[in-house]
Amino acid sequence: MRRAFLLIAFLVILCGVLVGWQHRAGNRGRISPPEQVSVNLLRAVQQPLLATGHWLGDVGRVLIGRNSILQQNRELQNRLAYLQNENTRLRRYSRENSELRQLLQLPKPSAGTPVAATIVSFDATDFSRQIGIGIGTSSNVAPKDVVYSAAGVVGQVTKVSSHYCTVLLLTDRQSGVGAITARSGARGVLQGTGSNLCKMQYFDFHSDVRTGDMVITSGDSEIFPHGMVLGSIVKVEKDKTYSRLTAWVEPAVAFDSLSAVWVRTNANH
Amino acid sequence: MATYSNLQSMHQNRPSPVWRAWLLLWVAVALQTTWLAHFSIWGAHLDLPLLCVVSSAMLLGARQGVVFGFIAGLLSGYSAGVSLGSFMISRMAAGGLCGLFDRRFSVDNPLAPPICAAVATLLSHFIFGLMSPASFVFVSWVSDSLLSAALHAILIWPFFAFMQMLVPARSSAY
Repeated sequence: MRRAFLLIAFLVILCGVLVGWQHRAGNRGRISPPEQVSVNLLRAVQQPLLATGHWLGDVGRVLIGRNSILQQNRELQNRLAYLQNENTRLRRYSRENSELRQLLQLPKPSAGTPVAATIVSFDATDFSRQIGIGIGTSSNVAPKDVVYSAAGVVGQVTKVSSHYCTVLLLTDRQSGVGAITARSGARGVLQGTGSNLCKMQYFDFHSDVRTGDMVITSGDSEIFPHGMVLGSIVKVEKDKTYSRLTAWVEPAVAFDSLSAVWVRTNANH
Repeated sequence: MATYSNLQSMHQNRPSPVWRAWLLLWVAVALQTTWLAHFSIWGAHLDLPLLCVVSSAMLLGARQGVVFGFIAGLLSGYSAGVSLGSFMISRMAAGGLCGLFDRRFSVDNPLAPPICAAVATLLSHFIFGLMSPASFVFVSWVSDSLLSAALHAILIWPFFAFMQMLVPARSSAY
């Protein structure tokens, strides 16, 4: 019995030490060495499991939707041709924009260097919304770097080690991004709620905000540059008692089906 | 020529295959953070490492249960990136409690695993709620706890049977 108590006391003390270690490393935007060992040990199994899962998912989708695949392929080819044309047009606009900016001598937004990364792990609990990606300080990734995909903003880097970093998703309760609506320019703060929707608050009560409006980053903070897509408004709530306007925003990125992301490094924030 | 008593003592001195349970815990955490990350029934998540802790504790006793709970909490906490202490203490308590259970009831009783799984889930959620109250909205916490307990009570059977095949119960291993 005495040995059991000694064992429990030892484990509780060890628990306190590990929590303190993790907290201290977290404050400096780093991952503690025991956490690093744990992540590396798990990564050996996580990557093959994810790859197998994706492969099995693909096989399942092919088996289930065999009849519609040819039709879908034709539609995608048409869409690809359309997007290639649009891409050519946008490149031309971009060139023109750059020339006009030079003419107006406006400062260019700090673009940073995009680095591609694969997702190593998903957060499996209800308490936070995070993902782990397979690049770190060796690829010049630093805390607060913006993570995005083709659809829009995914989140920002919180902790970094040499070949791994954790990304706080837009939907996490601790996430907050300065945002504006693309149509009317109504300004607010987009906050995660821990669920699939985010909340946009601090509007002026008389702002012109409607369901379906696209929400983009305002560029007010040093972290997120102006104009990155965040999502679209699905519901607007007006509380006349407190003169409060709240919009519920569905993120543009489908976090559950992400497999790879871009990280904006060297952004000098 | 080896006598029966010699053979029996050789059998008793054979090392216990507890390492298989550790390997299973490692795989369970990896599965939890990949395939099972998006698996939920009415909002309740299946917690495979917790099932592993419950099964290990029932088969190997309270002391092993506490140590399994500690490591499972450590790995889950590091994977989640938050509430490391809450994960470790809640899993340790669940492991210890289920380990004590085997002294009162036989682990071969088919009702033992689901009862242990449900109690361990409620206990770990309760401790988690006490240690990290900011992570919960009370109503959703209660409903999540009850749903998770029911889910774990159902899914513990196949997991426990698999664990029993890998690691014999303490009475036969020692």
